[in-house]
Amino acid sequence: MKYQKLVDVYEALAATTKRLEKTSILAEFFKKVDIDTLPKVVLMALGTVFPPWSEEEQGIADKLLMKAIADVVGVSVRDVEDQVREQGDIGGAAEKLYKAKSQTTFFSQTLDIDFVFSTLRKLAKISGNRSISRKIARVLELLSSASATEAKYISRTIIEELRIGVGEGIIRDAISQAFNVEKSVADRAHMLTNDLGLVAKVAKEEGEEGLKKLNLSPGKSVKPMLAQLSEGIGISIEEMGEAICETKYDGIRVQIHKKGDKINLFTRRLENISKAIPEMIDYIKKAFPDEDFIAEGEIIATKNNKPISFQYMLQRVRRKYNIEKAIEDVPIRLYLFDLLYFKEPMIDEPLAIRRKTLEDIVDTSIDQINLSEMIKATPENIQDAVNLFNESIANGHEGIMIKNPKEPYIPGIREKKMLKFKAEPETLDVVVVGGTYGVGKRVNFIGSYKVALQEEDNQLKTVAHVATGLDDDTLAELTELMNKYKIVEKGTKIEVEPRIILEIAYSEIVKSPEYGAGYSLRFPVVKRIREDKGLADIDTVERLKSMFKG
Amino acid sequence: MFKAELSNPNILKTSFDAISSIVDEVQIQTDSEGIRLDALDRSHITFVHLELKSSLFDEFVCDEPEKINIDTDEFVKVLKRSKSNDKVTMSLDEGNFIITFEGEAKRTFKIRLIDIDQEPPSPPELDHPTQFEIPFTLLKDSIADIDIFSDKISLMVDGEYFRAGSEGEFGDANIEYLHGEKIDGEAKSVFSLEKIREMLKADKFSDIATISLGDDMPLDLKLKMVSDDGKLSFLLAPRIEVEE
Repeated sequence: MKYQKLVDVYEALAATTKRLEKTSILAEFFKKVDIDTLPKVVLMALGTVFPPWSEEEQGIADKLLMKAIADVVGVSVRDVEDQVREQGDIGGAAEKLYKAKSQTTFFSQTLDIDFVFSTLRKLAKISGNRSISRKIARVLELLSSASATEAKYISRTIIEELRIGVGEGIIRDAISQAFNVEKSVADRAHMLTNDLGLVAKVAKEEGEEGLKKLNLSPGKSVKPMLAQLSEGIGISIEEMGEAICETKYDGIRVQIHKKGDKINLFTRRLENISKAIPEMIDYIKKAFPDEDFIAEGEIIATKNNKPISFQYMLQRVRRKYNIEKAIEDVPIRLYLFDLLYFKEPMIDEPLAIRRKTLEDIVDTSIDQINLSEMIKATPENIQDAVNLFNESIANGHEGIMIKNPKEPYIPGIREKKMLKFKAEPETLDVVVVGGTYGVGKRVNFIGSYKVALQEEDNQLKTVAHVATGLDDDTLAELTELMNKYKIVEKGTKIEVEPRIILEIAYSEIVKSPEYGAGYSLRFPVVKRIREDKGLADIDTVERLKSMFKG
Repeated sequence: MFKAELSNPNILKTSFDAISSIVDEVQIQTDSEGIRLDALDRSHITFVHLELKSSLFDEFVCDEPEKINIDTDEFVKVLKRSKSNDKVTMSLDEGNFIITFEGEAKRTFKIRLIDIDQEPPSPPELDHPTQFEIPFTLLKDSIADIDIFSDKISLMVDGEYFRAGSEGEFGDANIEYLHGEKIDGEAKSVFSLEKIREMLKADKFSDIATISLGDDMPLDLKLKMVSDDGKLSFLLAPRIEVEE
């Protein structure tokens, strides 16, 4: 099928803000696409060519893409930059420039979806010296045969930001509408497999029955079950009747997958971090029986057996070189709290059973492998939970989790079956969309950061400028990241792709017409950079509204 | 079997300096008459054609036509290791393109053959209204002059002059050369400076460049060895301004 057909769908999707319309447009399209192309189209509608668990990325920097566009169109890179500034994104700039394209070519082919998909996928496979020019050559191959609108969406797919207001929810609804399957069935299949392309394919070929047979399988990451905020330890335990209360560790949440001999660790963003922490893989191998399993836990960095800042843990995970030294400098520990699969899927078992099985199979005689500190609480012994909370805080942890022991594990949802209670006031996860260079001592750094929340379907709405809470190292690191993701620079202001996630604290939520969200934050302070979170994980305007007590 | 021997590496070096900056992969074809390659860059803007006749080589054996698919960059890296008076031998085995340099010592390099997904489209037949010769160095200097102000270059020819020029935001540059050939009429086209610069990396191939121009037509640039044993030529698609 021609790529232009998909581009027409993109344009139709961008032209409406109505969720139902978007769903119908996609559903109609999904029906028409043949079975081999369908999974590709599903990924491409999400603005990517890789499934979420994949470690691969295209790895084309904005600057390179702009150079490629300049070459194909026949203008200078500066002209492209000017146009990006005017249109607000590289894709829009490409479309505009293509309309006045002066560079002619000897040969042009009609792009089809499979060719665009496989070429973009190949980008990830190109490595070694000169890999950049090889990647560019592939991009040029696509762009030189592209029409103006095709160039727009090829560019946007390369930077993985389609701007058509379609998220996983709409895709899932479109699959359910196109192939006549229950939304809840499609949803469950999605959460378990984390692969909407597969869900679409199975829905088309085998319908609901097929989807019901899909289950989680070790090696493929699952969307984690998420916790809501607890209003208070007592209230939550009363509500649940009985509860499992555990220490909430301040590290990174990991899913541990063992399949055959291979053990992989995924973050909550489903990034594979196994290579960065090889010693943990060895500990896990020793502590678990030799069966396929998926377990969940939190890994924290320690010093003299005491937990230390979450930032150290991030440094460990990010490390690509000198890992040996990092293993020595920043020892880590795993605290296990759930078991999703052991020889067979366990997510439908109640938490109490999953936890019991976990306790039965794990050997915690190794220092680095632990079970989370846990108590069973009922309205009669709420004090025990409070004690656990106080103890957790005293030991440098974040707070406690309060979980309903009768509940199954439901991937990807945030419900009242799992709650968190923290000592610190609630923070917001926001994405940086722009910044301003500082003055005085900070003249070479971006001193102030424009941050945004998301609305339904990934529309970003600005909410504040945050300029405090940054030490010199973080400032330098953030400035570097800002330059990496820079779209345009004008005077001291720069705009960036929405890639950097910050956790910010604040004193109060206030109404404000100056920001896209309609609200703003008083005295925002950066708590930390959340490299473990992605754009999809940032907080929503909806949540901000619900927290606003004006 | 295929075996080709040259008394020095210079012609290969200079050809592939240019070729590797234009295309990342090529198919070299060999037969009893010599070796040749045709390639189109991935952005479909430049065609390159190389022909080295068997008579150029000190020894040339080719029983049956061969297709040698290689990564141009790997080949250039190997060629860079040669000394200017090394004897060069090219040959093939299962899966490798073998290059041997013989000087003080005998050094052998094997470059893995690659799969190339598609055959290059053949260059279009073009009938240019003008053809003339200019010194290669003059062309190379003109590019450096134009580069001060612009990233594109206009090439013009009339009855008397060859002109290269550019208009940039910060200044203009113009080069005039009395070509002394018989040319009727005029022709003018605009090209990417960078693309011409890539071609001119082959600066040891020939002292003379033969240029064919038309109005808004591709640039045809030919470099011929004095002995007529080798030819390196390029076709470059023009930039045509669209009236808005």
